[in-house]
Amino acid sequence: MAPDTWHRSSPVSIIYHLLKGVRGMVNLWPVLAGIVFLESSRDLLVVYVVPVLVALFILSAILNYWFFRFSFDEDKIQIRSGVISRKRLTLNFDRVQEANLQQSFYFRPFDLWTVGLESAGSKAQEIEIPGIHLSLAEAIKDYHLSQQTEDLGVNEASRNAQSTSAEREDNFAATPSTTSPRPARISYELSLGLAAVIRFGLMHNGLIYVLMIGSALVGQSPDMLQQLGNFVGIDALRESISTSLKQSFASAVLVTISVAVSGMILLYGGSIVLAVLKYWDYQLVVTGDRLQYRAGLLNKVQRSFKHHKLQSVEIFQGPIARLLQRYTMRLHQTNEVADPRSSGAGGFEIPVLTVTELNELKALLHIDAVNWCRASPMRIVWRTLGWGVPLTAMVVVPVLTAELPTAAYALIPIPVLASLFTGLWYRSGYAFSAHWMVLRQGLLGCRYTYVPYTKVQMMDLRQGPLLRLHGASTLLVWNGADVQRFEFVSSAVLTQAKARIGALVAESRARWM
Amino acid sequence: MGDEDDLSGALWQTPAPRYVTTLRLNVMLVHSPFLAVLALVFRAGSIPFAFNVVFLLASILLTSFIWFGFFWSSKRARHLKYRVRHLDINLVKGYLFRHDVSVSFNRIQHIEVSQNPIERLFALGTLRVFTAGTSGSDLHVPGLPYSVAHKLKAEILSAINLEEPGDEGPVVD
Repeated sequence: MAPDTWHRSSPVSIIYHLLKGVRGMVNLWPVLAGIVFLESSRDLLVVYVVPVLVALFILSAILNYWFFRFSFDEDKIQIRSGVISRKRLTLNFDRVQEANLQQSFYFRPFDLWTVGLESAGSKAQEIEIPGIHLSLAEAIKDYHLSQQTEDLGVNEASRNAQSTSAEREDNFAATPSTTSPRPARISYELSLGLAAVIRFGLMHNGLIYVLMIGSALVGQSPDMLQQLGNFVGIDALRESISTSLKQSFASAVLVTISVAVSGMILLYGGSIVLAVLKYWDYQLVVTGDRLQYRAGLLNKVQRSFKHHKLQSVEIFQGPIARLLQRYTMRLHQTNEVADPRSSGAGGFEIPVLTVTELNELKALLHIDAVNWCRASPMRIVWRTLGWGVPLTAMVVVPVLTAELPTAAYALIPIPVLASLFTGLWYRSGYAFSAHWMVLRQGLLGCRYTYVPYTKVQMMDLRQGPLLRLHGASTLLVWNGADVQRFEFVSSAVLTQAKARIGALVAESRARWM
Repeated sequence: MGDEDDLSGALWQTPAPRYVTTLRLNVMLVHSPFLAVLALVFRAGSIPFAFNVVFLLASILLTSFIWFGFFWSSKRARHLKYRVRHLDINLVKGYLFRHDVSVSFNRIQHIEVSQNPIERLFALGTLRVFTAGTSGSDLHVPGLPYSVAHKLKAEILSAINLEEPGDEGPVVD
């Protein structure tokens, strides 16, 4: 293809630019919330500001669509964009980490796709080309894949030929690869049914946080609170409870419990709906060193991840997941959090796993078995004192002012915090296995973080006066995705681990990014 | 921490003795605007608010100036040392809060030598080693004679370039 053949997206991509603009406004939510809940300015807002903003958004989306052009050849892709400040971006395919395809619900009737390219480097970013036909999207993806295959040919000639051919494969029927000469060898497959996706909705309920923030905001506006109360019929509910209370205490309790259960059903029902939208028909396929999943009910997403780009593995189990005996796994690659709005932010997620599936995936990622160790128990004492003394001081004042019969209340924070930090200490741990360093954190739930030694970028062994007193140190380990802290661990253990990891990293010739 | 007994034979190096002077000058520059304002308030005679508050602020500022300018600067310079081995660079720093930092050459993204005006006055420089890690994963060796900083940079670059061809190594400038 000629390098200067500039393509334009489909006019349907105006919707993409419109939604992107709205998404950008999400960052301004505190300001917007402040204005919305400020009763005096609400009328002005509805009559003037909202229509003007909507018109501006539509105009901006049309202009962004009009000025967005792209061209590509076998080596690079170029993008021209911007209305007021014009931008021209050139991205070589050899710097692209991943090429992902996504089909939003508004693109589906027109069979249009969005290609997302994740670039490598210290300032990683994702560029998206919205509203293009599948053939064009595949052509871009294939150029990226063929560039990778070329790189592998140069860099990994002596490596496993099977995995190299596997990297050229694209196993999903939705986007058949034109570069694959033979079918890919699938080493692992995982499909999630509706039951598993419902479990995910129960395990990860983001709506609780939305409800908490929303309640705090609504609480600031009595007028809004009144309107919301009328909407949910709070007066009728109050009357029902008081009537029940007059009849019998048991019926009042029954009504209250029913209301609470209904609220929970709504909250978790909403979370399940969101989970179904995100992970409907989730299919994970592992071919060679490539993991790939596709999922989504309205927006179909297809993401891939190559094993050698793995920087850390996180395994979560919240309190509900613990009851359900399920886990969530996230794989992180280099600098994926550079743009939190990118589809790659937050890692490559495998939403629900049974213990058996988790162990299979751990084996696939070559995660060793570990012997857990705990930090120094002195950490409990110092954390309790560090938080407990200031809190006690804060409690003393109201206790003395209220002239309570006893000042013993002032000592409440100390035992509460001591119990909390003892629990945290007991449930936390660290391990240095043959190839991985591991951290375990959490009280009711648990989070395991695995980092392969060969992905370490920098290590910092720290020791303040307090740690020196107990012969302990803190080791900070940076990899390409995050930083891990091994706190209040014996200096001898950490010094030895640091020396061993340092030697392994220095001698390593494995691909790390 | 900061193991002196190294099998590679590489010795720990210390920064130039004049590094402590640059630290003191930095401390003076940070404190001088506040000290000047306090001096002006005293000179004006009519203190707009409680004398005790001004006196307390002046005491804190003077104590901080003496602590950082005379005690902390020399301790910091004395406890800073670095070591360049054939595959990595190490830095030990800190008196109260000690740090022992290591970066392998095959994780270096780029290296630079920087020089601020005070360092330029004393012909010193800072060697900055950047990795691909997240925020805070850079190693800085301050207080090096400018020529030594450049020599170290050249040595590290040469060690990186000597690595086997075909490595999945970073692009180093």
